[in-house]
Amino acid sequence: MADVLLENVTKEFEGGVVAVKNLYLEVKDKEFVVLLGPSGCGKTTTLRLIAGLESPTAGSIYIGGKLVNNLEPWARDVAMVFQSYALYPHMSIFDNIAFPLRMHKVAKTEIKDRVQKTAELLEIKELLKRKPRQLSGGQRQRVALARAIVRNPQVFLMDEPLSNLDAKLRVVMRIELKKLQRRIGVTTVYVTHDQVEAMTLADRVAIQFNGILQQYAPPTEIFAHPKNRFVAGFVGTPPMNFIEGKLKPWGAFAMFEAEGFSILLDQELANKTAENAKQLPLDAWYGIRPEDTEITEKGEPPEWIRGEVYGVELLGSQNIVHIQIDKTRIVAIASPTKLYQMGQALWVKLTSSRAHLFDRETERNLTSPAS
Amino acid sequence: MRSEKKIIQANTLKLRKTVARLSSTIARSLQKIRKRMPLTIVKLHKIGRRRLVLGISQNLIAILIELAIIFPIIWIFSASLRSWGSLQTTTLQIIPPNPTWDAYLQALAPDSRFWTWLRNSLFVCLFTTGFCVAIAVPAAYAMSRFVFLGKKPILYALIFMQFVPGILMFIAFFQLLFFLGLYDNLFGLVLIYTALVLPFNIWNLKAFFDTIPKDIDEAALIDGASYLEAMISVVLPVSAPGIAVTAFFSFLTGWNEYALASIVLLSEENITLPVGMYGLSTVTYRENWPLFSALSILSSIPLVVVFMIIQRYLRAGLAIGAVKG
Repeated sequence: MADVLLENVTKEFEGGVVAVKNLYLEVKDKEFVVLLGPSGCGKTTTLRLIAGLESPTAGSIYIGGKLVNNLEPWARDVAMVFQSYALYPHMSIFDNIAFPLRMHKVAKTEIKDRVQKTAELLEIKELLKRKPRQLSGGQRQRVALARAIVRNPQVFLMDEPLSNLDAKLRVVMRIELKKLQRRIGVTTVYVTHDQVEAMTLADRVAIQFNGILQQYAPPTEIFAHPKNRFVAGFVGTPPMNFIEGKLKPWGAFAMFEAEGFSILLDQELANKTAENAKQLPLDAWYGIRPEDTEITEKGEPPEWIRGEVYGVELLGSQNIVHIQIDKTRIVAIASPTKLYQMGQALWVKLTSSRAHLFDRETERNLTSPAS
Repeated sequence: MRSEKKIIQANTLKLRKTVARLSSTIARSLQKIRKRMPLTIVKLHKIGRRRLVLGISQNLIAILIELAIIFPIIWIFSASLRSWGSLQTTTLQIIPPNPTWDAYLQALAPDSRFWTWLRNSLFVCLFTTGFCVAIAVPAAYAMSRFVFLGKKPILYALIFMQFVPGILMFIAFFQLLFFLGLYDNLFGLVLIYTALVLPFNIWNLKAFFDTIPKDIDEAALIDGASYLEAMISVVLPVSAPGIAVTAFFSFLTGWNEYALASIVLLSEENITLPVGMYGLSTVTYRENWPLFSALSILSSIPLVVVFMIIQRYLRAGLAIGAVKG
């Protein structure tokens, strides 16, 4: 059983920098958890806390049910893949992969056997006699992975291992990593700032910001039901549109009044919000993803809002249209066949059941149940 | 005395003239070669002609400079081949008349004191090097990798210690050794040399360790190494150049050190090379310059040997390819 539990862990550095604030995180056995967030949010520190390279200022860390707060890294039975791979430059690839086994005093014949098997698994068998400086980036990364796998540890820790690869290789390695993890069945904690990686790899994603855990849920839930404005804006490409304004009742309906225009609230959305938005009018953000908007050249209020094309990005598979509505800019996605001109008048429909409302003060998602 | 001075002055003048003549001949021949070169180069390969000429003339200038630097050593070597007294001459000859190995035979004779001095110097320097490396490496590693109470004060102290001129400390060293009963003892000298060289070595090595990314240490720790094992298996092999420099510097300092050795060492059997040779030049064989020159050349050989051994490690392994890029 190799589950990982961080119980109210806080890490404060010299100079008063609090990297991790009161974090409660549990990773189930064999789960692939991704720590996601912008630079400086505390995800790498969290990883290092699990590894034992840093010790917590407060709180407890458990690996496999055992309290490891005071255990040094070599006693924790975790393996780590570094962003820079950290291969030993003076050793051959074989020795690099064999190093952890040698440190644990495994028999020589067994070492040879295991290294060969792992090298085969990662398709680096021909490279065993070379030195790290003779390998390409992708090959070095696989050696780093091999070195982590060969030990059969309780937990894999990965610190942005794909960030040094070119885009194409990254896509390939993502899938390979996922399949590998499934095959070996080891609990994995993976750190990245790339939300695409997080969405594709994770069983559950833990988004952190400024040392505080924002949301911990499977990728689909994070995407569809972000808990607050930060999560909503961080996940999804192109990012969610946020419109400033006030939530107001309008007869039997509800209206979102922005500067210069108003959005009619979808009834489903209004129902979901009703619980949390007791006091109207309420200062809020209206959040809608570009793929949930609709545009047309001939529209009618109140559902359709008039705007002007500000810019167009032609991606081949889709077009991204930037539309200026009064003082607000909206990003929408259009089919690749429709070509719009700059300054052209367009009608946008922002009313959608998949939109979100965020309280301006607390930044909480008003559509999610109060917790 | 005055005649000696005049002879030396005359010789210096002649030296200058010779060097001037030499360089002008070389310059002239260079010009001739340059003029002839385009034809030869065109015949060989047209591309890179200018570069080739530039490269060759640069090399020739370098050779000239090297000759100027080596000249004193050449002169000493030639002096060592002379017979006793033959340096008092008015002519300047690099190859002496009737060159003889007499001086060397005298120096290397089985009963010559050279062997005693050599043995003592080797003892002192090898032990100094051993101690320095044994202490400086863990100290520098700790300074580079760890954060602990008093780290900054210690680092600053190490720098400031180097500002104090060595001579000022001699009285203290002398008293210390006397108190410890290590006066006139080679081992006492070892201790003091180690103390003198350690601050620089630790600082230097720490700076070197700083250039080695900590990722490697951490990877080793996670792979199951203790702090000591991580240092030995991973950081040391990569930092061979830094340690080689430390070792060589420690050896060198001890080998050439005269002042302290002359104070500390007293009895004949404990004298090191520098002290012995100085005594030779002023006390007994006052005018036996060929012997002195021979001894100089001989005492530089161990240094060259040590350097050749260490040079291998200077080139072996720099931390390329361990981390990205």
